[in-house]
Amino acid sequence: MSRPEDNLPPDLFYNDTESRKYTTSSRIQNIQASMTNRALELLGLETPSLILDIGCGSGLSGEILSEGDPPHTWIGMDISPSMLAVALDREVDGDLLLGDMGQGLPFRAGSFDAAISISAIQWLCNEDEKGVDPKTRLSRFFDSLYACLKRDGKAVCQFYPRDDKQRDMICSAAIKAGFGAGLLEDDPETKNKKLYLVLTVGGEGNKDITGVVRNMDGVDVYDNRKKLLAKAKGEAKQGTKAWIMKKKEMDRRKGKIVKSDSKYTGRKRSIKF
Amino acid sequence: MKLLTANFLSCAVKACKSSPLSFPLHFRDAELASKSVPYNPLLLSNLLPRLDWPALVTSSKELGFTLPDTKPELPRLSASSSSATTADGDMNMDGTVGEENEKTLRMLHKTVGNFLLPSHLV
Repeated sequence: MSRPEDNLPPDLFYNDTESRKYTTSSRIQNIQASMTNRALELLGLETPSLILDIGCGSGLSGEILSEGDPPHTWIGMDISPSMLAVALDREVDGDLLLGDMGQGLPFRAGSFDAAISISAIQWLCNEDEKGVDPKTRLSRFFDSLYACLKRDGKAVCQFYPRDDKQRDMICSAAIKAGFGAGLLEDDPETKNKKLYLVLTVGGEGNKDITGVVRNMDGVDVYDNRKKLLAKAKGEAKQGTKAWIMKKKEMDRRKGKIVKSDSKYTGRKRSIKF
Repeated sequence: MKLLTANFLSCAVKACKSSPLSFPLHFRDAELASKSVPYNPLLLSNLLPRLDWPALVTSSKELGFTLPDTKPELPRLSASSSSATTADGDMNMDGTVGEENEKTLRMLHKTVGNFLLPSHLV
């Protein structure tokens, strides 16, 4: 599978020729449309809402938002001027902005009901210029996204990670920003595998991320939070009394000579200069 | 709708974010063209609580038309729908937007605002 992310920065890769493909190729359009519909399904919006489209490109996904039921209003942002020019030619309904998501989103807090992003956020993992850290760009993006969504808001980002490491980097950046995060994988183990990062912002309706897919058919839920929690609970923290006792017990079992436990074992010492 | 979008935008420069002047952005040398969009009461009632009305009034003055000084209330939305539809009309603008503690001007080219930042301002 070719990865344009590995060759050029997004504003240079999506030049006039590449941008034109998005209006002429029906294959690209079909894929984009199905991914947008899936994202909308995950968002589950019932009223006409204001949606932020990150990496809107030529407005293929935006068109589906405007034509959906109920019709939504959207604001699109993209880094490639050529793509936006195509969007202008197509006279899409949404408002467009030229901007870099890695520099943060220039919106007031609590502006949007929801956000979608189709095949865009993997570009954040690139180190295109010297001194640009993907982690900083990711955290800047997710922090500003968290801020500009209203409470109870949701975001769905479809993306193509290069490997599991990149996927985990993106997910952990989102969790660090405060989102409740979950990954939905469509057609797993096939060439057409699609990953959707589902993000929720606090609020009553969003208490548990698994609630997003509760009413959807054919979705299995793997919850590894409990496992992580149990693991964290089971391990005594290094330096604590419980940890020292565990170590001593281990050594005793090995037959080593271990000092007997007393009230002074693992006690706190006063601070000395 | 462009006007409403501008109401949600603030300055992206890191140094300005904490300053109250970073919002709203101001229009300069803007050319105005309006295009009516279908009246959508559900969307408006959804958006209205989130709009910063004083800022919207300021922007509308800069563009040469006036809105009532007070925010129309939700229950009276049908009565004030005329002002609401004005706000919902589509504006087409060429010109610049910038903030008050002016360092950067954002070019609006065929209604698309340029929010790319040079790396030292991020």
